[in-house]
Amino acid sequence: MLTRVFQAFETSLNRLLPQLEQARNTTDAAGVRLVAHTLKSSSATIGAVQLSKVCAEVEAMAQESRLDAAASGIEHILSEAQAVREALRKLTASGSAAGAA
Amino acid sequence: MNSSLPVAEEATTQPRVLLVDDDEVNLLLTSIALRERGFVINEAASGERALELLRDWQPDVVVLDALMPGMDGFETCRQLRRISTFASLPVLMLTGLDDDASINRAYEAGATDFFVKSSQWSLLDGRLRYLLRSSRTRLELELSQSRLARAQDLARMGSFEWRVGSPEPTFSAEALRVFQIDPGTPLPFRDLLRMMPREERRGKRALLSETLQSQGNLTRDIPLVLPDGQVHIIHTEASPEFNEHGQLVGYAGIVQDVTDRWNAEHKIRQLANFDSLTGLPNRNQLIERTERALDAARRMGHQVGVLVIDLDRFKVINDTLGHGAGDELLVEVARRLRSCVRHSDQVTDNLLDSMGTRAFRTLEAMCRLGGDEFVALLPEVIDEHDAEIVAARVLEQMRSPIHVAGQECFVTASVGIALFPRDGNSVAELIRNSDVAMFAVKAQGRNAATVYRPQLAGKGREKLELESALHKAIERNELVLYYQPKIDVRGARMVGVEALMRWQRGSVLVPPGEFIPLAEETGLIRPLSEWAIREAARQARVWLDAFGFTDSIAVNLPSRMFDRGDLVELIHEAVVSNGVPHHSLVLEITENSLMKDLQSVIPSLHRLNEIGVEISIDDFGTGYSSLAYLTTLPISELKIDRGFIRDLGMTPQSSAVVTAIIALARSLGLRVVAEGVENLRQMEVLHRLGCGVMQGFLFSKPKPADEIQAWLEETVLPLTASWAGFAKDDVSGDPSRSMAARPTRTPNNAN
Repeated sequence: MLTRVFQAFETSLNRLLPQLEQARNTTDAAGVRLVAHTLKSSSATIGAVQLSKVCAEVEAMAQESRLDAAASGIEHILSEAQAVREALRKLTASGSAAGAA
Repeated sequence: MNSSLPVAEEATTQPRVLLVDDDEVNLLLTSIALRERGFVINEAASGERALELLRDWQPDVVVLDALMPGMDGFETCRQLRRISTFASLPVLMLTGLDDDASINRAYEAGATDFFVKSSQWSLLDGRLRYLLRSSRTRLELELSQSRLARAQDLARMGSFEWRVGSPEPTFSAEALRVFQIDPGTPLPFRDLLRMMPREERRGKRALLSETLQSQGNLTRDIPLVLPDGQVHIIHTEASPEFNEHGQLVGYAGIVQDVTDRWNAEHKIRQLANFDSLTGLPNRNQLIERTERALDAARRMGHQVGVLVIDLDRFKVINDTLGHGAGDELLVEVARRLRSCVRHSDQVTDNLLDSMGTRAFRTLEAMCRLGGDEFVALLPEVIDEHDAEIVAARVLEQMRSPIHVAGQECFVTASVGIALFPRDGNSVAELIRNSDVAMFAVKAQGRNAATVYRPQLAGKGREKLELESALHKAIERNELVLYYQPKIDVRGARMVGVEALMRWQRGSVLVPPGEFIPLAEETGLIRPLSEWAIREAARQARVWLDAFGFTDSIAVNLPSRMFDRGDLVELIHEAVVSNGVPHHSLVLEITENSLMKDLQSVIPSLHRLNEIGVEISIDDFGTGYSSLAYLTTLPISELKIDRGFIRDLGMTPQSSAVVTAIIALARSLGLRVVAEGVENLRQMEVLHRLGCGVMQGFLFSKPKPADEIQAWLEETVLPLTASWAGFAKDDVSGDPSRSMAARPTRTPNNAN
């Protein structure tokens, strides 16, 4: 079941991260906010507390259209998301290995 | 995860949930969690997808993420609410913990509830089940409300209430519909009062304040002119409501349009009290009115008149023209009779109250008691002359002809009058005595009015009963013909028979003397005579076939049958259809009736003579025949009245008359027959005087048709009778006496 959750999260990241980059590049505050919001809850769900926290900060700033202030946060999301993704891949691999063993 | 789902109420059906979230992770986790708790889940990753799914799937609850790209949760909810089937579908909006704005927006968009996203699934589970429960309760409530509304609508009923201190009542939408007013429109007391007919307002206002004062119940049928312009009857019921201290807090009640019921009741009252054919008050109503009139008369000491009006010979009209025409005639008679009194259809209690002491006069009416019997109620008469004036008006009204079934009918009436208190103290007594007077009028020749006198009681009715029974006698085949032979004593043979009508009334054989005069009086003699002619012709044929009977059967006819244009046709038809010659029938008419209607009868006599039907003058010698006429009439036979025969050999005068009649007949070339011959002495005298054909008990009583042949075979042919010896010497060997040897006339062929 975890595998399915992680896969769903990864699918979500694959969709959301490009959206986030595009929103940032086009200074689309609403777009940034929506990605941050969605990612906030889903990352919290899988236990990526750090990522969720950053998302919350970015969402709050995007809500006030302070994209400049959110720039570093957005960068943080992108890098953190990448880290979470890596961690999940490892987890999944070992999980499936363990499951296979 | 342990599936410890609450199975209590939703065990049978798993609740269906539409889960809408753009966050795949959350969607997946929520979905898994809820499935484990016994929900059936459909997932949608966007608002658009959710609406698509809803097109052909009906969930029990929708869980909707508020913030989504594209169509967000709020918009999805709004769109979903626009679809009528989802108007009350529970929608749970998922929002962030810190998002107060979304919570408000969620409600504005039509969400049922909100829920902060959480991974504590049992909380979501609990919330969803609560939503489902309340939704179901709400649905049931809505259903029951709509059922109630529908029931009220069907019953044209609605509710209202009024609170103490509030100036106006409030009405439910259904109640407003009863008043034909759009929902939501205020309906103040003032407007309600205005809908009432003016004369009702004051009373109803008083009723209202009286009810309030006594804090009692209110139940009234109130007439209101509604917006459709019609008067509707609004049944109103209200009962007071009290608080815990027993103080009146207001009234609650219902209003209902009962116009249809009122109309039905009115119709029932109408049917119960009025005759459906003529529209006149019926017997019930007559009795009720008369009772009231008697009450008033007792109080005020005046007299009441009751007139029973019975049409004369209505039965004859009914039977000749048919019942439809009879009904038509009754309607016209009713119309005329009604104009003879100050008739009023309605007598209401209100009217009686408001018109005070003279109100009993509205009781005056013409009523139909049944059949052709009507009753006029005169609630106040000064004396019997007063009532006689009305009776005279009734007779006068009947004078002009009534056109029914393309014919002019002349109808007369017999009127009996009885007065309260002189002729009776009760309705029944008055009607009975008025009836007695009416029967007395009938007995005295009809078409008149008479006031009741005690000595009238007992007469008349018997005769009327006889009339009615005689009328039915024809339909019931109760009439029979008896036959009395005519004997030619010189040849000791039968030369014909006279048909005599008898009425087999139950076990009693009624002789003609008891019903023929009545039949003549009532006009029934016509159908009776027609029947006799046909029956005699039929019998002639039966005897012809049985024993070669070729003599004639004499049928007695009253003079009024002769002035019928179709008598000749009737007789022709009767003999032809039975295949016997015309001379099989002889018609007997009494001297008296012939002389009375001589002019109108003569043409018929000639025509009958032409077709071969002979005419015999019955009871001859008793009337005052003009001999001059006798010579010109086409008659063939004279029958000497039995009165002269009875006295033969006892008084010289009787034989003188008989001698004269025989001489007259001989000189006119007519046959002569002696009737009522009872003994040999009479027979001898008659024979000596030159009359050879006789009829009477000496030879035979009138006998039923089937006894005639036996009588012939046992008595006439063997010459065994006492009277036969007298002729023995002359006739022995006469071949014409042998039935078998007699030449049989060829009957007229009907074809």
